Amino acid sequence: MPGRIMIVDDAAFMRMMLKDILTKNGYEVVAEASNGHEAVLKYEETRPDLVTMDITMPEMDGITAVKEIRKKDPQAKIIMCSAMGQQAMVVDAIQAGARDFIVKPFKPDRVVEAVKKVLGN
Amino acid sequence: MGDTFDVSHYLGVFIEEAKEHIESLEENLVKLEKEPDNQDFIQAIFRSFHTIKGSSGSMGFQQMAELAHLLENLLDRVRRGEVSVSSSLIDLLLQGVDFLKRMLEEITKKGQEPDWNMEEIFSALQNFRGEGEKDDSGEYWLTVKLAPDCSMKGVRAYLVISRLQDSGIEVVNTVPSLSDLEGENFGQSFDVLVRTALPPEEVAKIVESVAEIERVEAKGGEGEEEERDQIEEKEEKNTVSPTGEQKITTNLKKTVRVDVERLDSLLNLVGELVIDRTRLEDIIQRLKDYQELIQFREILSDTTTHIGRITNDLQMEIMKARMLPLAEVFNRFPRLIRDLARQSGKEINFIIEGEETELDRSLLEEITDPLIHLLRNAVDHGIESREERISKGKPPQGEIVLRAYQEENSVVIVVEDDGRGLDIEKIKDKAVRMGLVTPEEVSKMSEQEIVDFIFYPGFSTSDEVTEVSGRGVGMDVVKRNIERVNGQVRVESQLGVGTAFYLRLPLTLAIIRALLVRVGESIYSIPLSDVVEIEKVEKENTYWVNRVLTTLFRGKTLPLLWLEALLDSRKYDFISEDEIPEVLYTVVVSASSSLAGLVVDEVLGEQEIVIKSLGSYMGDVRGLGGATILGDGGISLIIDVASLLWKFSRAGG
Repeated sequence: MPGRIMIVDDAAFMRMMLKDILTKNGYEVVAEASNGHEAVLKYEETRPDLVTMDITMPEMDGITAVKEIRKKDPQAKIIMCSAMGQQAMVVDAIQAGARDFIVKPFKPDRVVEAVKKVLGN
Repeated sequence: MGDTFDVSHYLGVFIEEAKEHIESLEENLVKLEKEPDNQDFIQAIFRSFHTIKGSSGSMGFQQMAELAHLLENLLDRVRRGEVSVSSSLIDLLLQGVDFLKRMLEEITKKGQEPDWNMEEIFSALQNFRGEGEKDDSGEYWLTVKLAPDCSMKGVRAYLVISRLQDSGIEVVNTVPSLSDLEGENFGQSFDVLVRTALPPEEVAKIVESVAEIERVEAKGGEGEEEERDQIEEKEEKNTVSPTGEQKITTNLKKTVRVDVERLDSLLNLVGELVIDRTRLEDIIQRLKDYQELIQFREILSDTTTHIGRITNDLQMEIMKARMLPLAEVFNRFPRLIRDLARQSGKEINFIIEGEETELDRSLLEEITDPLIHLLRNAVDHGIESREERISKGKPPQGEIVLRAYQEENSVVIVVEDDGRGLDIEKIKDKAVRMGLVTPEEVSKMSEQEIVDFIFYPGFSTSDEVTEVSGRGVGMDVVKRNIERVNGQVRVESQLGVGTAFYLRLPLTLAIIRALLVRVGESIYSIPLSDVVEIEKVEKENTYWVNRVLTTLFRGKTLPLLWLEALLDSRKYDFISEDEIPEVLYTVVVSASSSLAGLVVDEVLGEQEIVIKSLGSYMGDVRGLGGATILGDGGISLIIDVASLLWKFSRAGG
């Protein structure tokens, strides 16, 4: 049972790549956001089943966005997209309520595995 | 653990942190008793035990770690709903916290944990059974194998462990240790010892819900049900994790711990700056006479104003850094009230308000004992028994409110109860019988003045008064302590309705406003808070009473004291009547509700002064509260009015 996903990343290239991977595997990308602030607003609008969240972004970073979203929806399922060397930030994000993480450069099957597990399908 | 890595210089931080956790434990446990279903309290308590376990283990305090571990286990059972919150549970947990506290005290004193026999509390914790509870949890090891190309293994392991904990499964131990896991010092797999009622397959499923996990295997999953005997308990002892497990649950805040002494010396330095500023102002004044220097004078004046602003800000900032919320003190009181109420069989609703109000930390220490005193009195004597309250038509549950708020440059703390109140008539009787006042005098006194008798030393110790007024056990001590830190105590009471004590405290001890007076060649500073009025007394209006020169002040006799002689423990310097000057410049001061007039040669004015302590090598300095440096570089001694008046009474009144 695939789901509705929102992609959050400040790089359009990354968003495009993730979108390709996800749609090819039957998921529907219902929203895209390029910073944390936008992500919080769009989450409210679209209420996706899952969010992929970049960590370093302008305006509002990913960790703050996780906190904000979880404040509004404690059940929100969020996967962090991390670059190598961001260990401490990923831990922060997990403490803030992120469910899992994937590490760039993305491998399609890893992305799909994480999404599948978090969605429980 | 301890043999290769010296942990001794973490001892200070460990003690501080453990103390904080113990305080918040007491607070939260009492709160939990009131709201047994509040998950926030349960989580907070669990985290505190968990942190203490981890850090005491790291410090090598095995007994303490073991105790915290058992407390944490019990809390975990509460968290999972296996044990329900009851008074007996809270009692046991508080008992455990008491042990932690006493162990910490020993550690603070001796640097090592005490060698106590803890069997009793250990087994009480291990064997605690809630109502109708059947313990079916067991421990077993899981091996978690990560996917071969898994990146950020450390975070992955962290995620697995936090996922387990979020699902209510206790992680008892890991191989390698947690810090090694987080530091990625391991291969493709690691082992976790879990404690749970869930079967291994269920637990494996939870772990596998994390991405990039290849396989989860349970070891020794058989027969774990009957393992709950001593053998297993022994093993459990050995598995208390010696590593910094607290990392998992504590959120790091961006704060720096600074030694208080460092703040003290910073404030001292700012004090020096304030003095220099005053000196600069003094120089500017003197430059007035030199017309040709007028330009320089203006520049100097501008610069000095700027320095003044900066030092003021600096002073404020450092003062703020020394401030701690009153919660530091208040938080331990719910426990105190709970225990006292249980002992006396009274029902008390204890309310704390304004605990976020901040106060200088040295003051915080000073007010703890007086507050305990007032609260104890409120429970013991203020609040009536349940039956008495019902018969009076009051709600059966008494109420004690501890409130704090800031008012201009002071902090006010109120201890208020809705108990029986003070009986003015009985206090009057007692005061007359003790010979403190005559019946005529007392009939002219205001209610407030009469109530103030409870602060009179020895007034309280009589059982009669304690019975009827319900107050006064060591009230003089309370008042003295508060006045020593330049504070004031006031009481308001209504018979049958309740009593309220108001403690007014300065925000800081280091800088005060003072009245500067000259006596001979010396300049003395009298704290403005002690000054009632400045009077010009004519010689013809003075009288000798019991060989003390007195005058009338607002219809009362006022002893006139020569400051310099008094500091020397003598009463007067003059021998004959003729030596008394025609006009006496008198500063009327008050301390512990007694008034006195200090005769000086000249009143110079009012100024902000920085208190410097006199140091311990000085001899008898009673009567003096310290010294300060004046604008011209001279030194002025600060008068401590309370002890000065004490000295006067000793000099033979």
